[in-house]
Amino acid sequence: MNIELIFQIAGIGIITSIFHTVLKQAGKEEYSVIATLAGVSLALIVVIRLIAELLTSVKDVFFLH
Amino acid sequence: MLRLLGACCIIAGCGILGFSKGEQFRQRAEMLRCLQNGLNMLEADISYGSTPLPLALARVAEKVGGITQVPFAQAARLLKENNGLTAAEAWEEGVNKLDAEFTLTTEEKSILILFGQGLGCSAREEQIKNITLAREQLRMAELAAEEARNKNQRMWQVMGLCTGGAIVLMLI
Repeated sequence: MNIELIFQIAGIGIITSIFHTVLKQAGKEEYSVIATLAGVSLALIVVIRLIAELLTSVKDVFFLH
Repeated sequence: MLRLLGACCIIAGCGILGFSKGEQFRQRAEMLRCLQNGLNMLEADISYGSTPLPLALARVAEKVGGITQVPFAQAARLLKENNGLTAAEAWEEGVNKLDAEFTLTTEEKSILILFGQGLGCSAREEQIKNITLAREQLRMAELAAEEARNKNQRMWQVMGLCTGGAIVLMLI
């Protein structure tokens, strides 16, 4: 497991929360929701590769292909 | 090492963009304040000094300085050139020049142009009333600009830096 990836996802989380707080303080709630959604999708894009790897290894283990 | 340098450059670039956007809010409030000061001086020149308009405008332009001097200086120059322009037209030219250099909102522009239309074509009392009205409207605009600044300046600064951080995180 690559430890850098975990830090990357944690960083995305921290930055997303900062965006959310700052935008909410400035009274732009709708943009803060959009920023949060963007952060979640960025994290998902990173994670989805790992999930794909997991599924491939599951297939390999059970000789499903 | 090169990566670190690139990351610093991206964060600094985005930070500078954010800070310059935040700075615009401060400049707008300051410009409106300086314009009010300029109108104060013009009022004093008109009511106590009875100075001719081109000279009064040039004097105000000298005193206010910065970007705020643009409409005063331009109007004074056009009036001195004496090419058949009325004071209102010369002032409007000055406001347009200010608008080209520092984007004004429609409200600010209409306040200034409306003020110009009463300039130099009525009795002293009327002109002073006109200046007071414009100053009052500019004060309201300044309050609105100050409020927008309090709301947005910090937000743009933090957003700039964080966007840089996010880009770096995605690229690493």
